[in-house]
Amino acid sequence: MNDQTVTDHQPTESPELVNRVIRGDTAALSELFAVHRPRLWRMVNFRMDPRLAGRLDADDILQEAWLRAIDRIDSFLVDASRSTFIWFRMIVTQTMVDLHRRHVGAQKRSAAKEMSIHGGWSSQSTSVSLARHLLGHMSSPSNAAIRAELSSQLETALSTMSDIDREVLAMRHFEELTNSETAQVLDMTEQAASARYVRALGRLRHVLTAIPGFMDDAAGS
Amino acid sequence: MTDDRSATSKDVQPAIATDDNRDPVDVAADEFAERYRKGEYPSVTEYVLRFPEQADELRELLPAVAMMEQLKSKEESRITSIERQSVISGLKQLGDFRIIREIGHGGMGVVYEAEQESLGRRVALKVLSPATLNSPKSIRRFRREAETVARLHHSNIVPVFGVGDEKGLYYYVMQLIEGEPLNQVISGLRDKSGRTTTDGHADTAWGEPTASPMDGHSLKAADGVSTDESADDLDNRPVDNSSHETVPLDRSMEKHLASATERLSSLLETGNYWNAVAEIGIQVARALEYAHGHGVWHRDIKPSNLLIDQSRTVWIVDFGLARLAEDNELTMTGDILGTLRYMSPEQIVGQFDQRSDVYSLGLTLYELLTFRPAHDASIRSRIMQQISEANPTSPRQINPAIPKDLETIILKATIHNASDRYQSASDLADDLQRFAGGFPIQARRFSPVEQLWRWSRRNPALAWTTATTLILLVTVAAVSTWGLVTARSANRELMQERGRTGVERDRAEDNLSLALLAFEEIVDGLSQRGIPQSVQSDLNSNIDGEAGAESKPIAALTPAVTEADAELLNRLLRFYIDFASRNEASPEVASQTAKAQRRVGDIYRRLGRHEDAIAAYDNARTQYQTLSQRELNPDIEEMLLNPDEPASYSATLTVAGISNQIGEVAALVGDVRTASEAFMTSSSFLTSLPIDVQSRPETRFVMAQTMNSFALLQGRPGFRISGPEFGGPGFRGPDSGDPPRDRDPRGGHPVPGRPVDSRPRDSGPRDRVAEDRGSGHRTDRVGDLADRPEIRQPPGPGRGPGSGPPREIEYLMEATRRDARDLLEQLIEEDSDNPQYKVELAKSLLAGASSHDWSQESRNPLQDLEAAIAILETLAQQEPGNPDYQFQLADALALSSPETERHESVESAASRFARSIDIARKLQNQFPNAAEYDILLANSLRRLSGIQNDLQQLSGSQASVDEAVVILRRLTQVWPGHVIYRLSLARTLQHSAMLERRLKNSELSLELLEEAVVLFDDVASFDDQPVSVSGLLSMIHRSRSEILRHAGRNSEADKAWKLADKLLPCKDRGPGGLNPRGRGFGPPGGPERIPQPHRPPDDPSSRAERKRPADDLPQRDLPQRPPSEM
Repeated sequence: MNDQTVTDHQPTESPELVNRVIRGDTAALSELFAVHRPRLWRMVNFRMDPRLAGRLDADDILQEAWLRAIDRIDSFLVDASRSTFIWFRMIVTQTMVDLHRRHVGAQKRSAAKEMSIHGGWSSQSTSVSLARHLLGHMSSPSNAAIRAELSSQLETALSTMSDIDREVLAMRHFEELTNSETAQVLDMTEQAASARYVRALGRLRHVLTAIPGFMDDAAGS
Repeated sequence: MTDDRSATSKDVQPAIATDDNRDPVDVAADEFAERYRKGEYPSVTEYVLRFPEQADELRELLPAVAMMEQLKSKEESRITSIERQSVISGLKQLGDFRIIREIGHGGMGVVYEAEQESLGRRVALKVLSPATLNSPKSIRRFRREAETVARLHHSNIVPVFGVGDEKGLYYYVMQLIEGEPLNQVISGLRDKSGRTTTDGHADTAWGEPTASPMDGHSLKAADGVSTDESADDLDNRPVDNSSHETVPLDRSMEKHLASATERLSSLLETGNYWNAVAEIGIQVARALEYAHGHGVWHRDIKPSNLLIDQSRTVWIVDFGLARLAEDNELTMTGDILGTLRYMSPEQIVGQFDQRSDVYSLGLTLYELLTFRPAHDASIRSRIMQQISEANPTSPRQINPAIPKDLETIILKATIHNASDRYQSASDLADDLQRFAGGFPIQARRFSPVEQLWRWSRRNPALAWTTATTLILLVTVAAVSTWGLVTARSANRELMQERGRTGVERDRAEDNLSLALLAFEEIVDGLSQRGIPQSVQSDLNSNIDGEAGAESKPIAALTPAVTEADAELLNRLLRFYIDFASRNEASPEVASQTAKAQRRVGDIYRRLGRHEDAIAAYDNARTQYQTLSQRELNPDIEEMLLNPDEPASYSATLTVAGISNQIGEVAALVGDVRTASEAFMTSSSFLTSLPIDVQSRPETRFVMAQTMNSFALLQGRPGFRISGPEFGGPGFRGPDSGDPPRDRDPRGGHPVPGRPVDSRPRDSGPRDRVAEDRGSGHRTDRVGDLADRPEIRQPPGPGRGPGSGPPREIEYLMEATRRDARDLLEQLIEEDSDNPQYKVELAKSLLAGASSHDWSQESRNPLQDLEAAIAILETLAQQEPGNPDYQFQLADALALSSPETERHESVESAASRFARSIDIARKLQNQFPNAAEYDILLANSLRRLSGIQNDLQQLSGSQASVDEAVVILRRLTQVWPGHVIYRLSLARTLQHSAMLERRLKNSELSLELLEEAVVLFDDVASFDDQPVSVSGLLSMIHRSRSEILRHAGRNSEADKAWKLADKLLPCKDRGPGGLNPRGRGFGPPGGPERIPQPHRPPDDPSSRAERKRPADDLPQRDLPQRPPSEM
């Protein structure tokens, strides 16, 4: 059987590849970008403001971020020393923020605000993104009544969690960052990040069970 | 591919990276999430077992992890499927197949017309999108689908030639059918007939000419076939949505295609259309009959899965979700397959059989008749509500031209309850054939009363799906706003009433009452979901030792509501509280307010917030008292005693009723003092009424309830009475068992020993009976006892035997119970049609059956039990349609207490339990969603198993308990929030383990106990758990300890023993002892043991099984097993 379906293909990051990038080889940078692309795509998909949906999609943003990465290839050695993925993620994040600002308008989401804490995302935007994704299964998006009801319940519930808790969950699950990557982005020790994660899970669970039907619905579907 | 992956996962599993820096829970959760991402869907239990140290946390947290991963992949696949669609959309060639054109696509893949080059034939090729088949699960499903359908050869089922995969794309090959899906036919006919709905969306959807003319094969690939259909599939489309997923093709084929619809529509004019519909139904039903005969269910019958060709032959496509009847493993519990709109109610809750296909076909035919879906809501949760709550609108209400017989057939096929439907596809086909041939059909129409009854039978399942609960919540939110607005306006209008017309005011008040009524329906619906008494008594009987005696009973701490229910109730509560606080000004509204306050109490009680409940009841009582003084209009809930007399009588009766409720709640939490005061209050209110009012049946009934509830205090743990000196053989009650009779029963506020009122007795029937029996003191006994210091101060934990209330009080209570019984018997004699009286009498008798007889008057508790059973049996026979009576009867039959055990033969108990099982089984069949019947059945089975064990029928015993375990396991899965189900399961597992051990299956026994322990870990996370919970867990640990020791695993045995000891200390022996008498926990059987005949009724140490707590299998008068066997 052919096992090389799209979902299965997993290119890897090799030392030679990284060395080529350090020497300024953009083809190598492209390969490296491809290695991280699935998770970067997840991040964009998770964080993207729904208001952008008609105008931009995740691929547009990754394309733009890719161009910026080429521009910065000279600083790769210094900035990406700890993790090449984190380096890409940072570039993608900045790209997204800029594009958001350009398209949605600066009045509500100033760049400063977006970038203020924890790896680039304001607590508000993470909260909204989490709620949006957690709501994914609940009902038809067109049904304003139920959705608005649940959405506000959920956002209220999520707002009772701390900023870091939310970030940790978003990174570990929706962006699929590893514990050590999460620790890096949030600038904490791996031990602390791990403890944070477990605690955040507990709080999420608590928050969700407080909303009737939420956990069982997810489990049952 | 499947194999490769599972192999990998197996390799990964045992080796878990340990990382000192990381929380072990994190490491486990990480691996869990990783496997989820690979599409493996690992079970939480697996992790709980693999990481015993983190078991609690993992059980708690992994579901949240699973949820996030699931949602994420859903969201992503929605996007990627669009993205990847292009990959398969552009296909030119796939292996042997040359793609000619696309004939449709949907969420799961694309259907092409293709040429199979090697054979030179045209085929339909269904290519699944990589996103659909991105997990081993979906690939298995795909293969199974093909395998299943390939076995079917029927002229109405689209043949599948084979399956394959190429370039990572999976596909299957089918015969190309030149046909049109029925959903398009329906839409075309709808246009032709010019029928529109009132729904705006529908009008636009159908206002244009047939949107996507299709020719040839219009397998609409996957339209909403699976659970991962995106929610907007259902968005605003009254009919199946495949048309919008299907690519409009070749305009040139339009004419050619339109003819199928054209032909049917010409029939519409001539009136032969109905027969044509019947013909379609017959073909599909026969095909289903054939498939069912081969063990295949379609599971997704709907218009878009039925193609009709030029010769009006119907073809069923997409047995995509069909699975072999015997193949249960692959469908996860709770997996909801098929398309929602055509799903049967049972399918929504994860059950399926051939009748579910019949239902879906019925709905399809319904749509062919009416041109609109039976369940026409446009959002998922609303559809689920429609399916679960209502039979569809009668087709003839939509179009009176539809023949009545055909309508009857369709309605019978789509009845909510599967057992009332056609039992097979062939039955449906036969009846359709009868109709088509002009013969009388077999289906019978239901009268409106029958329909109403059917509707009400479904009520117990009011909140069985979360979606339903959700809808209720939203509805409540909407209604509360409305209710409050009307309440406020009512208020305002009443304030200005002089200037207003009475009509407006009345309307406002009507609205108000309506709002309240709506809420009451919801509350009543919820309160039907109770826990059988026999189960509660069973669980509470685990209370062991002296500590247990003071503990709160389980029922008091574990409200029989789920968290979702609790949320709903909380919302109702807010409504009532808001209502009550806003509406005190006007007298009429004040009475509604008082009533609302009472409801607040009811809700708190359901929520297990007993103190709040008492406070709310107290408020309500005060308000009613005010009302009674103001002599207002009587409360609408209470019956009008007499239009001419002061309404305060009715209010007083209500006040007494509320006092009883306060007493009952207080008794639940073991606050005997508050309880007895409440009953005393009730009694004094009742006796304050004029004699003629007192003698009325409704007054006497409340009085009987008061006395009954009071007498039941005796059995409450807080009222525990122990003391051999009161039960000594020489004891006799004073004055032949009667209390001092120096007062008049109707003294305003009776105090022991002091007559308050010396009016002569009235000559009402109640008193005549009382005189006959030489006891006229029923009403004041309550007052008597409440003033006794002994009752005000229930024995504290340190009080040993002999420090309980004097036997005299105990005796008085028993006498009160008997008086209540007499009163009820009298009431029944006067009015034998009132079931309330009988139910109350049965309750009283049942209490008698399980209470200890202090009078030593050789009262046989079995007589009471049998009398109660007889009453309930009569009621059940009189109203066979009322499941409540069946339920209570079965509950009574399952009753078992130390008292009955002393008197009853094993055989008689066995037959009782067997009958209970019979009834419970029937109820369970009738209402597959009503958990209380399940738990009743499980409990009776466990009891029977115990008896069978005593009778040495070990295999029967094993079978009974196994069935109970299966039921309870399912219950705990379906209702994870119900602690009582887990406790029942734990208890039953323990029982089963002991049986297995007796059968020398130590391994299995240990496994069962481990399962019980795991259950318990969850329970133990609840705060403030009653001692009976830890007692049960302790018992389980002790059993484990013994099995472990027997197996030579001494250190584990010691550990288990310590755990047990920590939970509930065992006084007389340490771990490792082999003395069977001392085994387990509870007071040892030492010389201080209370002689059997005088055992206090609720002293657990006296239970027969306590003597052998290690195995917890009650033995009666049979030869003892050798200790070594235990």
